[in-house]
Amino acid sequence: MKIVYTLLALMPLTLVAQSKFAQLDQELPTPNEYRNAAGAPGHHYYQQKADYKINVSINDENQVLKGDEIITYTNNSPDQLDYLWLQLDQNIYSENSDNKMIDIEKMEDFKNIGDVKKKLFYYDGGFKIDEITTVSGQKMKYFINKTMMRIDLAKPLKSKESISFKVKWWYNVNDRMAVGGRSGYEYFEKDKNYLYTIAQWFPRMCVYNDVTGWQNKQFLGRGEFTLPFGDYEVNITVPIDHIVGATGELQNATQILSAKQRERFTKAATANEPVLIVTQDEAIEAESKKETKTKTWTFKATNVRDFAFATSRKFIWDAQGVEINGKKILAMSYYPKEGNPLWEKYSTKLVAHTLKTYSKHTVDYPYPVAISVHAKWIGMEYPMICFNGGRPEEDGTYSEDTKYGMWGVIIHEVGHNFFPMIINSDERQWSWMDEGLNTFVQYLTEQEWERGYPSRRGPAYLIADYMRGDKKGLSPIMTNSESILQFGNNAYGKPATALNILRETIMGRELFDYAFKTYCERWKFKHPTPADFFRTMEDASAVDLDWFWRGWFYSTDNVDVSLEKVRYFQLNTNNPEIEKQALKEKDVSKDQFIGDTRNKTLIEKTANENDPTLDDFYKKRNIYEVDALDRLEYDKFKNKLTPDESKLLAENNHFYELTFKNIGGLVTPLIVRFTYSDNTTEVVRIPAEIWVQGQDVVSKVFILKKEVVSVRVDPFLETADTDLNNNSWPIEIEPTRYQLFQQNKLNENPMQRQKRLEEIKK
Amino acid sequence: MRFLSALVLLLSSIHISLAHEYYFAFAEAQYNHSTKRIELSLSVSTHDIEHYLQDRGVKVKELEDFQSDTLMQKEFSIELLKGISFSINNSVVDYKLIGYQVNKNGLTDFFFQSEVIELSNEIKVRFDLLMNQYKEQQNKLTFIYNLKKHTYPFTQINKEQIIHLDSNEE
Repeated sequence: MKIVYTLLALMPLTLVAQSKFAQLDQELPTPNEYRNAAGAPGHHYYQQKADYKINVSINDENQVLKGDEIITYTNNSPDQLDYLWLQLDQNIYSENSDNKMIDIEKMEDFKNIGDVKKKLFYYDGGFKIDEITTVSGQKMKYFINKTMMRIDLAKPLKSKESISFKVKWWYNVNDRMAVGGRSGYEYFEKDKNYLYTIAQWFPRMCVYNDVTGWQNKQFLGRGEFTLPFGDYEVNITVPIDHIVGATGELQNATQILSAKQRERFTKAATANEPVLIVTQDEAIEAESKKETKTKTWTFKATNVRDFAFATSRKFIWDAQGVEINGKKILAMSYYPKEGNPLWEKYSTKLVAHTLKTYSKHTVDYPYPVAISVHAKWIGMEYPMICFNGGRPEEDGTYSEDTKYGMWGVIIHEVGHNFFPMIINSDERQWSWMDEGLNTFVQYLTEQEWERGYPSRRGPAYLIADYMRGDKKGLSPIMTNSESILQFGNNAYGKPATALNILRETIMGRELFDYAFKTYCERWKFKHPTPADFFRTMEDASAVDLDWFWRGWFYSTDNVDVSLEKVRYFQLNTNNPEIEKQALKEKDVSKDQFIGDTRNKTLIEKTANENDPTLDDFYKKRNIYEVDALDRLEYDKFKNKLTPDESKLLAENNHFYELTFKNIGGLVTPLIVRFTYSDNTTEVVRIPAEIWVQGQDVVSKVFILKKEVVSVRVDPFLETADTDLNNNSWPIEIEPTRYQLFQQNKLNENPMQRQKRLEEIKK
Repeated sequence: MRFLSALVLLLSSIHISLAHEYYFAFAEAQYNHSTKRIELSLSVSTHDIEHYLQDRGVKVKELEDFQSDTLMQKEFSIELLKGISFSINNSVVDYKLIGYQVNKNGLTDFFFQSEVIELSNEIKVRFDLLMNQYKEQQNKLTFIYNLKKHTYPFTQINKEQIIHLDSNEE
């Protein structure tokens, strides 16, 4: 019977220990010849290739985009393919798209006529596929399933074979300001011009690989894109006065650009500062002329997973060279005058800075150009080009919030060149693999741009509000893109924070940076999965991180460690001179019963004080007195000690037993700062494995040379602890935001102080 | 024109899936035993709240511009308090905006002080700020009582929470 009780008592502990620190073997796919156990591509790793030759034109009168393309698809897989899947992202704007139908609505949402008009708003969006044929013109059979299109092959595409086919289509470009979206046009009422940011604009091949087969999950609006690499040649026909920025390198500059523009372009390539290729005055002049003739810009891009472009006669265009490990890259910006003065001053410099820092932390930027295009409100990324918000007021002023917003979005979107454009993860499945990793490196880049940059995401303490409290309403990071609750915090903020904690606290910068770079190098121009990332980070660092992935990526637990108890001890020296004196001091200093205190004065003399003969041996002896026997026994004790033990005993160390409770459930290292009586401090770092036995409460004894006056857990705000009020001994309460505001209000603001300073100088 | 901009904003909130989605407001509240008032701070994405206010007819482009405009702040207060309320004994607690600060990181903190109230063991909180504006909006309240933090999530399907206070709580 006793055995049964013991077992029952032990089982819950064992299960908890297993769940927090268990290896991820059951969660991760079995390593294989395509992806090995070290997290690297396996010896039979393969990926498909999709090459495109595209002609596209934009009609500036009716905002219609027409295109035709020849796709050459190469099957590098060992499998025979009976059909091909293509993505039709524009179909998200079709009248009955799933994106619209799955929107949860209640009658309370229709409070006024505006809400009703919004519901009934109609725009004829979506791809209109004219035809799909073989290169020789024979019609091919296809079927459109919402945002996906299957082409049935007349004969299966065997391994190592290629197929070429033609697609012809058109669609109405969406008014981005009315319909929304990652791309579209913005109409400028004042000068009656359009600015087009064009993306997801052609039928694109889906990824086929060893993980998902065809990745043909429907596009519902949030989970972005997963695309195979390939080479592109794109001819873009637009009004003759338009300036076009695109993925890839311009092939026909001599026909497209004026001699002056070509001269400036050449100068920009070696310039360390942005050089204007089209000035604001030139752009304003173009705005008023509105040419109707057209011209065709030709771009080529090699080994990219997508192609996007921007075109407008409103564009100011500047560029500068950036050198990455001996390779010259052109950083460029395209923006209307409405973006100035912010864009002319910062955009291209931010592009250049981002390429440098990301190359340091990930892989060398491999493409010839990197472009930032001004597009009100949004931030969206494509290979070599991205569309970014940050628009000043009409009078040219801007708030600090707008400036930092613009800086942040440019760094973030240019950073997406690395995740997922180069390190090509599956965005449709795992948003965090590009957004989270990118937000992490964005934070590093922001901190290298300006000391004390007010990054919104990255530092551990910034995620505490999101992770605190009730776990309902939160999703684990390892959640499919469409099902994530609280997308921004979950897919961007939490993984970026987790990586920061790995770098600063768990692994250290040296180990982390090496492992992170190893992951990037291994998977550049390939398709990594979460398991490849998790495995590489461990494989390249010799740090078992399964508990970390399990807690941070697979659960909604949070870090909340409370310092429950601090107990103080000192070693018994056995030296009677010290111990008896200490006993005396202790007795003197201990609290006295009030009756005893009063009796000392109110009882003039006790009976034995009047009659000393009443006192016997026990009354007369002095328990604090050191006698010969005490000394003899102490000598005997000392003789038994080794020299090291004697030295240790003489050190007079202070012993502190600290008890910690894991309230939040997430396993974390313990960072403990002791402040000593002489005002010096010492920090002790305890690895997370202190929780390995599965307890919620652990204790640790610290043997210290000096007496401690206070203890603080997580003093550098590095673990994302969600409640700092239980982190200190003695208790220290964090001020609320309200209290901080009130405190600051009592003080003068910096400008008032400056005024006073100037008055003193007078 | 105002109607059009409201329409534009609402539509974009439905269809745009941007690379920067925040949709989270955090409130922190503490009962001050000496003043007998609840001290409340609301932390919200600056752009989200600017759009929200514009959409409700408040003529604000940049919040930063109205730090000393008490009339405008009154309008902010009215609109913000439509999104958060505390009820004690079936009576809604009245709040006054005492200031706000626009932070460089894109968040704005608003600070409110309640009327003098007697706290009861049960406080009903509705916190649906921005939820009609953004379908992904979720909010969180941390209520600090006797030094302990109690955190409550608010979602589209759960816009109200009851805070139960234990007076013996340490």
